[in-house]
Amino acid sequence: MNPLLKSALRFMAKTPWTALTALLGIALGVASTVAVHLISLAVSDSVLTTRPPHLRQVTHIAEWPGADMNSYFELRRHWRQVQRPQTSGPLRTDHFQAGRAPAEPVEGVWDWLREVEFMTPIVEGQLALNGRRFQVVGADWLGGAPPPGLALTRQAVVADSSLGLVVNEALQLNGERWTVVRTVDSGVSLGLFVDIGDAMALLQRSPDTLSFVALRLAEPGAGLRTWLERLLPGLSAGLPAAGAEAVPKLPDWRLQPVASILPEQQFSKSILFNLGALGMLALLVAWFLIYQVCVLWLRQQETLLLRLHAIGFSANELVGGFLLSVAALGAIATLVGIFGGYGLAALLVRISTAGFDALPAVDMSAVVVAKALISGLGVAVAGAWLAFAKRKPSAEASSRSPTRVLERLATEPGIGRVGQSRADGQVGHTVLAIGRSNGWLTALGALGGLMLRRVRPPWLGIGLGAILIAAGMGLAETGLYGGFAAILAAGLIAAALVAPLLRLLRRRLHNSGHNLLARLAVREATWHEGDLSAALGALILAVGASVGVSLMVDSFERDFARMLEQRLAHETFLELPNQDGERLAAALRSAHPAALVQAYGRISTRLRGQAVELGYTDFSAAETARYGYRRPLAENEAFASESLLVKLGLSVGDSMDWSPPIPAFLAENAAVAGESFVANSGLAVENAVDSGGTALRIVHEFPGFGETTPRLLMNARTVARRFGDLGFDRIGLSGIDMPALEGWLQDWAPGTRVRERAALRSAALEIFDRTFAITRALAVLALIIAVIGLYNAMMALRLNQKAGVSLLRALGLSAAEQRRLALIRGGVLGACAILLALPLGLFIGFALCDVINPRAFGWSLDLSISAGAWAWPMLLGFTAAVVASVMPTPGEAGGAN
Amino acid sequence: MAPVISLQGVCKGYGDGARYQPVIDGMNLDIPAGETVAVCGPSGSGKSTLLNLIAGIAAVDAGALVLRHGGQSHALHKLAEAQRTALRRRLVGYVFQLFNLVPTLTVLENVALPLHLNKMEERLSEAVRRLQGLGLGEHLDAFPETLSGGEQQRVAIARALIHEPPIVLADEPTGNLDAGNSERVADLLFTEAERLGCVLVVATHSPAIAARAQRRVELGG
Ligand SMILES: Nc1ncnc2c1ncn2[C@@H]1O[C@H](COP(=O)(O)OP(=O)(O)O)[C@@H](O)[C@H]1O
Ligand SMILES: [Mg+2]
Repeated sequence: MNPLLKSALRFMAKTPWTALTALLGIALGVASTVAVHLISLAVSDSVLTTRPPHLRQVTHIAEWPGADMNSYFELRRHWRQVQRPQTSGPLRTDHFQAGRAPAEPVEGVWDWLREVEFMTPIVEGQLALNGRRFQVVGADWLGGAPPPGLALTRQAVVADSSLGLVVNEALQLNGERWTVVRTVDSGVSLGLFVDIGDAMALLQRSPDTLSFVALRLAEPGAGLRTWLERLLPGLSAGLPAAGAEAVPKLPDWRLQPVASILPEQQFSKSILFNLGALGMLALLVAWFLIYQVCVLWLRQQETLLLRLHAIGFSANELVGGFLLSVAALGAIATLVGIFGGYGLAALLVRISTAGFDALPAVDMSAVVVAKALISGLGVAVAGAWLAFAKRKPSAEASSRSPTRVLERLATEPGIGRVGQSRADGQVGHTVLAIGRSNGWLTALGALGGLMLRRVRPPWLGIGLGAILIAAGMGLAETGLYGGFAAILAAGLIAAALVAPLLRLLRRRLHNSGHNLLARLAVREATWHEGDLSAALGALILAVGASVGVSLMVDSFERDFARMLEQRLAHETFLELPNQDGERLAAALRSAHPAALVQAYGRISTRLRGQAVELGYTDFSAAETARYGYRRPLAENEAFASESLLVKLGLSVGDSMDWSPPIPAFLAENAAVAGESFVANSGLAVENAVDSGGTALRIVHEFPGFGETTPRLLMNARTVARRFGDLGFDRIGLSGIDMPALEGWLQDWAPGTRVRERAALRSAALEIFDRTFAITRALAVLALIIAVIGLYNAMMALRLNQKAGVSLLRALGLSAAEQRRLALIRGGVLGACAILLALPLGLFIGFALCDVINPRAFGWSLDLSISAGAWAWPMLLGFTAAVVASVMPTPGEAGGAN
Repeated sequence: MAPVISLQGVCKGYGDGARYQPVIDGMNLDIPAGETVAVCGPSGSGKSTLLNLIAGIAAVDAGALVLRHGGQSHALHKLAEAQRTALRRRLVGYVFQLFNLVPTLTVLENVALPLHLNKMEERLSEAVRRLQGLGLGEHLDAFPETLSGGEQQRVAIARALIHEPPIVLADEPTGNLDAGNSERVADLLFTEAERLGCVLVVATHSPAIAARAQRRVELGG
């Protein structure tokens, strides 16, 4: 065996404590990487499988006025022709412009069809029959549309599991007998999937009328997307939707990403993205730690390397041996980390549902292992390189004689000689020489130098970071990436300020303290910025992130609780199995005249192509007061959730055109809508009862924390004028004695679920807690890694100062005095960390509440600066610094004899 | 016969520009084969620096430094780091005052290091014999920390000589030892050098050791 490797391995075995902390640090970093990946993967898998069957391979939906089978076939014809241009004549657009004069053929107007990979027509609408509601979806299943497994014959239905139907069950719909051939978790509540012809018949549509055409566009950034997604599931959620530029330039056309009608998926992906971004932070901290470990090891082996060099080992051999030993450690740690990460993921997924109903399955994959190897092994080796490279400056690399530069460096205070004996100075010198004599190391060193060496002053980097922050925070177009880039930039700036801060303190505190010992301690703390800034920076990053996340979660929790207060104004809630709420409410009122009874209903629809939930009730003054609004709602007035306003680009006071823009339909559908069923979809809300151009006015905004779908609240009358009488399926009650109520319900409305306020409230809060369990766990993990990193750095520093310590002891310093020295030193370092971590944490909290949350979910949070949120991480960070300083280093850990 | 080591106008200093401090300033020195030289002078006079220059660990700032061996001459001042290292492993044995041995390699493994570097592993049995001859036979598989200071220095000397280099450099090899051990170590160093006929350059404060050398080079303070 190579004697260098043999020596390195024995070194590890003989310094088990150092090796163990290093191993633990790397393993934790790897574990967090693996865990985040596995959790994200599991969650994103479960998100993808709940995609409704008719939209499974779809990227976009296209709508145009008067969309019907005719214009659909015309579109197909165009599509074929665009793909085989030689056979095509001039393409016309007039089929697609109902009610307009045929337009001149426009050059290139159909070019976007070249990107289309398939298309299929969709009809959807709501059907209310015998007090039961269905969300009917018709697709061209017979025509080979996706998914192939769901070929449907006529009069056969696939039912969503929420309908509670079983296979082979018969359904009477519109006087005909239908058979359930399959049940699925489609993600479409009350979904009933049928053939497109059947859907038109069921919904009594004017023949051939379509809701929209589902398309798959070739995504230009698909490669990047897949790559990002493989790197970290959910990461591509932050990218702007692909194909947005391919919008056909035709009047009244709307082509939008399928995500706009799948808000739950967007929501889940945003959660994934946030998780991923936080995981990256933990990874970054882990990288700092791994680097710190390498520095420590290099420190411990410097003397040894010098001697080996004198014997005649070449620079390459020594660097290689060192890298090999670090790699060996990295490999073991990676292995431990992979298993640890798997366990962690399984545990976290169990305690946290992250907002998902079904427990996602945690699965190992090759990508995870590769990622773990890169962060464990790769970063360890790269860190070892950097540790070598950092010992020399980048600027002088080319211009001067290498040895000169090295020698100068070896004499420069703060790099190799402060607190070191002469022998150590020479050691530094030789290590420098070893590092320098390597071409590839020099190149790497230049890079590492740029990144890690103290640029004096670091203002250039800080300026760039500030620009990044301003752009990321200020420009909404930068999306989640912008927000997280700003957070990352702020974190790196805070970390980069450590060295200047220590230098400043060194100057300011130079002669402070009457007590010579105290003065010594302060100087020791502030003198070694080169050795400590990486570790201290990582600690600041971790504490800052932890404070920020805690602030966000606490703010969220407060707002969430306040919202629950609004929502759960009644003592008891009844959930009906049908839409007969009106009748039940009337009966309750007459049976319990003193009670407060309010009926609620809701309907899913689309407005301007966005999926929206309409909630309705009788909005009396008492009801609106819960939302902080003083008057009863008038006809054609509505409350909008914050996310709805963001998505539709509206604000309070705006009016929204609430009239269907498809004049061609109206005459035919007016009669249909008079019945007690509703078909909705189309461009806005179709099948309206009256054809007038009334506008809906948004009079108030309410927060919609935790809601996946944008919401609009209005009077039941307003909704009925559009959709017909939809009925109510929930009732809020106050002032009725529970046992009496239950008995009464048995007779009057069997199958009704009774929920009490307290139970609902605690269930909601529990879901909330579970949702954020992963977030909190990751922040804590980052903190732990950072603490280990700092401990490693302190160990390096103290090994360096062994001679100094024995001198002090020789001078008669008692053990207690030495401990006090360490305590003061740790205190000063902890104070430095807090000084930078507090503003960073506040910034991250603000960014999460005011930038990330609105961009990801469409709601903003009031940042509440609760003491608990920032005090705990701070205390932890400070304690960590002190403990790392005071904790004994392993006595004989030094490699240099 | 041409000298094994020759320095002509060799300069070496530390620091840049105005802070440049010459340590060795225009030194001329020729050492023929087999000669033993003591380099004397107070602390900080540049003894270690001189030895490092000869070993090629540090590069000269100005002047010529040539090593000759087996009919070939090597101009160190013209060679790059890597080439100097390659020469050093063949031509030079080095003994330090402290930290001589790799703490994580056994005594035998330490001595075998130069053999490994010079691809002379077949002489391992020779290393064993040599260590036994030094009374270290029981410690072959021991780690350096279990040895006394004097024993460690003897192992270091064995290691410096095992590949029979034409040049042996010793930097205050007895600086850390008591009188008795100093004497034994110095004995070993000089007799072995004589046996092999190599050049020995010893940096030392000790008059006793300086007296044993055939020639004495005084560095100014
Ligand atoms: N790496 C170095 N950087 C700067 N100055 C050095 C370095 N090594 C030695 N010196 C300086 O060179 C002079 C000679 O040192 P050295 O050769 O170690 O002397 P000696 O071995 O005789 O005690 C001293 O003044 C010392 O400060
Ligand atoms: Mg010396």
